[in-house]
Amino acid sequence: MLEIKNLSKKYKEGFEIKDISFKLDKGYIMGFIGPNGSGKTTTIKLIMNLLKKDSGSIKVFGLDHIQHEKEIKDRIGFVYDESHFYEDMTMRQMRSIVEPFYSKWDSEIFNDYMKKFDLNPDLKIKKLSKGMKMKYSLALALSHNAELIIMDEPTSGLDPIFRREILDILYSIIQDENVSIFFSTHITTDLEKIADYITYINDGSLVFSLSKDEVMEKYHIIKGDPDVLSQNLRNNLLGIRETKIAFEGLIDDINSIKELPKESIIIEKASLEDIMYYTKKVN
Amino acid sequence: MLSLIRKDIKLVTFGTYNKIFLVVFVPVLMAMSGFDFTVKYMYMAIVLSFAYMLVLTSFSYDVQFKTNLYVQSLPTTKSEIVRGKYVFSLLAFLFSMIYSSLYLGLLNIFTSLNFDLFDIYTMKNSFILFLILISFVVPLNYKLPPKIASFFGVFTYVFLINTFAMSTTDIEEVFNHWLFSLYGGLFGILIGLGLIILSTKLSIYLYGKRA
Repeated sequence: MLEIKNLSKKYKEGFEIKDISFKLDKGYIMGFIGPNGSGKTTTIKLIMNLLKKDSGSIKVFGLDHIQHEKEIKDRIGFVYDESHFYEDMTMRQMRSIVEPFYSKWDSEIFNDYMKKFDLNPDLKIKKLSKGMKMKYSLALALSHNAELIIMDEPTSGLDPIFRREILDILYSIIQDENVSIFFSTHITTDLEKIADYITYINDGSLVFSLSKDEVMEKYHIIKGDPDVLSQNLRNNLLGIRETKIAFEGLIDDINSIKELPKESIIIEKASLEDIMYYTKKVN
Repeated sequence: MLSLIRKDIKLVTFGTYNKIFLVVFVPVLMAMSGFDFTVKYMYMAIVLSFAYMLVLTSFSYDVQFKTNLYVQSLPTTKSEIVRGKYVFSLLAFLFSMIYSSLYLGLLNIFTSLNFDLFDIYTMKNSFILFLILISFVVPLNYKLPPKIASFFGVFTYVFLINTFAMSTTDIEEVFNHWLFSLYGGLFGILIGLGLIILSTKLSIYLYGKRA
């Protein structure tokens, strides 16, 4: 469905995406996480060919994303993190602009989503709240039988109720096994609810691209007294937070601390937020 | 590309303000001119200004709401977006010419004014000027920040209008220039079309490089 190999892009200002590779199969949800400024939006723009890559390959539906740009975009539902619509238009007018671009546009599906989201098509876009604009974006993105939904921070800036609603919508979409979802976020709790795979980038580099279960199995938080913190243990930790009375760190190989006395440490499964926090800190 | 052209047509016709603009632009321009130009030059100024405003309006909406980013995510390519804009510009000129002629024609019928409307010579020269104007203005919008592009665009427009369409002193001399008159005026059109082709290629290059 989506295959990225050795993707690189360098901006004049210095920031770069470095040799990123990952793959998303049909019927799955992949969460794309990373701190602000880590390169999530750049990667998504590269996938959509909104930016020119320096090297590497991007294949969507098995097709090169530049050679088959129109065909690919026709099968993608894309959602930005903010509204880029003509705000003076009503939702009906905006729809009439978007509709002719898609070969498989289905007005019935669109109208169903508008009803489901409680959106009045004759309301001007500028009158909508951020959450309603996001729902409208989703309605547009989901009304042409897209096989791949790509979203850049769809839940950012939304209140928990809207976020939950949007996650529920995504979850219902994925019930169709032919559809995949790739969405970036820095709100990791969203992913813990619905993602099958997690791809994590930090400072333009890929940290990992694994199934959610693998991530949860692999990463652990270790806590203990400072006197347990030997140089060997310190070297094994991906990130560490120390106080005078305790330390806490992230580890990606549980076997490397087998020899530590179990009574002096506590080992817990790491959350995605822990992983982001400690790996960001170490960088 | 049809979807892109349709988009631009909708942009310049949707909403009350745009509809009012379409109705009042020609008479307002005539009123501003004081109705005292040599008739065919006023016609030229009206056609050029109206067409240019339509092109500018479509650009301004894209810039105002950054909708160009959204359009790029639709099933189209950057090069198609650029080519669509040029085709829309030419259609805007055609529409402007027909619409202004109808407008002035109605004034001819219902008032004592007498405009020489269907003068091929004036239409041809208007077309050449429009091609030159668009060739300069469109690439600016794909290269420069919106406000600066707009400034240079208006500057080019005012320069061309003042020099060629509204100057009543030596305009005959200008239009008798070889550029306009060679091969019965076809040479000027060919130069204009050549400029448009070069301008399109330049705009595609500039927009392709832009994030």
